[in-house]
Amino acid sequence: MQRLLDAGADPDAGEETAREVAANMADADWVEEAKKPGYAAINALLNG
Amino acid sequence: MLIRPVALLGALPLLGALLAAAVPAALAQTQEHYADLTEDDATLPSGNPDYPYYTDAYEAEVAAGQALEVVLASLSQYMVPRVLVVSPSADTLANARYLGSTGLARVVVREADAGTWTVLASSADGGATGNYSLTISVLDEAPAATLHELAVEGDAEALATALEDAEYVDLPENHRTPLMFAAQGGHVEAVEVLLAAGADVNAVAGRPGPMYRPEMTLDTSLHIAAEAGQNAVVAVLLAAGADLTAENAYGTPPLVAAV
Repeated sequence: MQRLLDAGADPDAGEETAREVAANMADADWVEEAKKPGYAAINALLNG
Repeated sequence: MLIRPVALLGALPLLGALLAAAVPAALAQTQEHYADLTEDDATLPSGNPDYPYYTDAYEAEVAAGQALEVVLASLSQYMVPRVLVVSPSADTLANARYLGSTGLARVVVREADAGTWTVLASSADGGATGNYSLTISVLDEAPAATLHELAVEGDAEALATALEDAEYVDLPENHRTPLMFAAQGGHVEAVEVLLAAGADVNAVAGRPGPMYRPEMTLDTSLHIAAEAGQNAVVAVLLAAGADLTAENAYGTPPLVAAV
């Protein structure tokens, strides 16, 4: 993730963007609790 | 070595449970079988009972120390080949679907158990029929490992040797190039060897070919490495010019795959 961002990947590119996916998964009921901190961290990373 | 079609499947406990009907005896005595999957064939269950996997069964006698290689080629637009082989004790089942755009499914069993192996020629699509050719080879020496097998193992040294004689470094297998397998496994050295040999860093998985399949992902090696969390490989691919903006069949760039 960080390497891709460092290389210039656009977090707002794609039909469903990385920013949207990370935010949705950090909040989603169906995501295991153990994984939510990871997605929350990614979301925070993407939102700088 | 003796290869013959299966006459009765009832004697095989695993297959007896799997197959809905006995396979009619075919009389081919050679390693090459040209036949058809039809709606009268035995079936393997699929998710939809209205569309079972039509299946023909064959047998191959293997002696101790021999290897078994099976190649199924579809000769039909509608049949995507899938071949399964079952060991004499029915405790091993090797399964291969077709190899990218080549229209082939291939299984190699190295150090095969001695006895009667069963080979099932079938389709990856429920309800599919069509004609095919099946080659069953019992070999005294196992064939050389493919680029894909070496990429999965991450054996960079063996890959480098194999690549000296390889005609095409990006030949797909199960929709993916050797580079994609190495990338998924996080095998940095293998990735570097493949790239040095000319592997296309932006090749896509399942590029539509003669037998287009709608589930082809069109992922690049970068998608695959990013999704697998193989950060070291991601760095190597980026240095080799991997496209950060490549979108797969779902409109997803590599960064989204990494989330």
